[in-house]
Amino acid sequence: MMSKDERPIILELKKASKRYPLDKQTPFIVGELLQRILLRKRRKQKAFWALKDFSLQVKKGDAVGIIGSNGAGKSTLLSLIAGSVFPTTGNVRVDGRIGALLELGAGFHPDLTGRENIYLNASLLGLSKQEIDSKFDDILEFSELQDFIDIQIRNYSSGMHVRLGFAVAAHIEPDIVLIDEALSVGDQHFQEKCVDRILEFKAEGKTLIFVSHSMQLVTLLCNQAVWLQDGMLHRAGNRHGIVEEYKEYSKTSNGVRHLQQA
Amino acid sequence: MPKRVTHHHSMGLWNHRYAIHNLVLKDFKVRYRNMSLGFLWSVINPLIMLGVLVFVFTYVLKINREPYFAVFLLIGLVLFNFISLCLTASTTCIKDNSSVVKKIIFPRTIIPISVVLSQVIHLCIQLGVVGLFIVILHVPPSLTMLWIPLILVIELIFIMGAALICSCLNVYFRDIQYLVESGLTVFFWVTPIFYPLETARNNLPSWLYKLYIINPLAGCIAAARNAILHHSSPDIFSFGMAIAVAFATLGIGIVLFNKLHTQFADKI
Repeated sequence: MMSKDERPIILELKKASKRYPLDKQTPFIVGELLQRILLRKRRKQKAFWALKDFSLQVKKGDAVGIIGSNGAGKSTLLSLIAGSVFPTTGNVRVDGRIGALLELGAGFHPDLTGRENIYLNASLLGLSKQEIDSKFDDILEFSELQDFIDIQIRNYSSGMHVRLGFAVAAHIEPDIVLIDEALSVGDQHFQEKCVDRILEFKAEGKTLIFVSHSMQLVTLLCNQAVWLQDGMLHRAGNRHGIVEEYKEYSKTSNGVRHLQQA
Repeated sequence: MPKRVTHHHSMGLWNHRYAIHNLVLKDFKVRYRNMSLGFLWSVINPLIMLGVLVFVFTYVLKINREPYFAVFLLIGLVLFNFISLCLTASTTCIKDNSSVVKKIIFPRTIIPISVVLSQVIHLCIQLGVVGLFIVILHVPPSLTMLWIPLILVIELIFIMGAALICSCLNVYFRDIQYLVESGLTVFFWVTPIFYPLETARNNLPSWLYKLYIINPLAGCIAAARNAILHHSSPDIFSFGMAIAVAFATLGIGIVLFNKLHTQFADKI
């Protein structure tokens, strides 16, 4: 990887795995007990490993692009890093505050207004009232939602949702910024604004974890890349080779060929 | 077992006090945003209950022998109402907040804590109603009324523990919310609300009374009535039992919640 590295490791996953049961239903307990007592057999649980033995070290200031086809485990990986989901085995260590922009909305309450959601959201992330007060104007300006800030979020469009979410995540002074596909929802103008903001983060030496299907954005924003396949690490390292190789792979893989034929 | 996730930014409860404040505020706003009588409902509810019970006991059954019957009833009703509202709301609280639980990392305990605290606001309003009745009916004041804060704290500790237990179990088994619902009905009748604790002590066989007194609300309500109406200190056996059960429940709640919270995001 890099040569001079004395930068501290800010994020580390050690053989992290995440297993999801395939039947999500809670079993009917009476039937379950009868089966166990009378027939002396346990129902086998089907399971799916969304991520398997995944290890990664990210140094402070790195910008890591996470790529891979649908279902490769990218979102699971982000949730593990964000800390909302716990690994089934292995462990995850994070040194610092995370600003996560996962999917839409980043955890807003539909019955509260935009303003109330900013305060609730930022305080859940551990900010005090003074800190939020001092950042509120910046958040509002960035989101460009001045006219709508005092109406309930349930009336927001998905674009407005994302703008508010990104604005909060971008202003809580995160040490690590996590971004899922969210960028693709905003309009051109807002996307550019977000990209600018992300570049600013990078200039400030913050760490970026970026999940995207856009190789163009990964090339623009990231210096490292991680390629996931079927929940496992396929390749990791400097982005140049990996992005090229992934492009090749996508072209030749079946799904794309089908699309091209159609 | 090694620690699965280590996050090195502040995850303490104290650091999240402003989040608790906001969650309490959220509960209040969301609840009353679409009601024209707003928080007045927390006054109206026990008053309706009180009216019906006073009517039944003074005019239908004619067994109203307590000197300040309205205050006697209100104490029981308000303390029961508090636990009933807390447990109903906290049982579903993790599910109700799934949008934040799935996306943001923060100490999960602050959700049930804030649910209980927002009910404390209602409790205070209802205690104001009790106070009003004490003044209107000229209940003579007494120094023993100073026991009331301690009694409320003991009830709060019990509720906190029960709320932690119900909220985390309900994530795994949605049956809990129905269990709590019917459990509260049973609880209403095995708590001395419209009869004094002495009735239970005199009429139940002693082994059954010992079982009965495990309900910490029994000790709390009896102690509160002693303090306000009979100008005496709490009964050592029943109130002591309440204290012990309250702390045990809180302990179990904390242990259980800390064990189960890691899978919340997967289960909701």
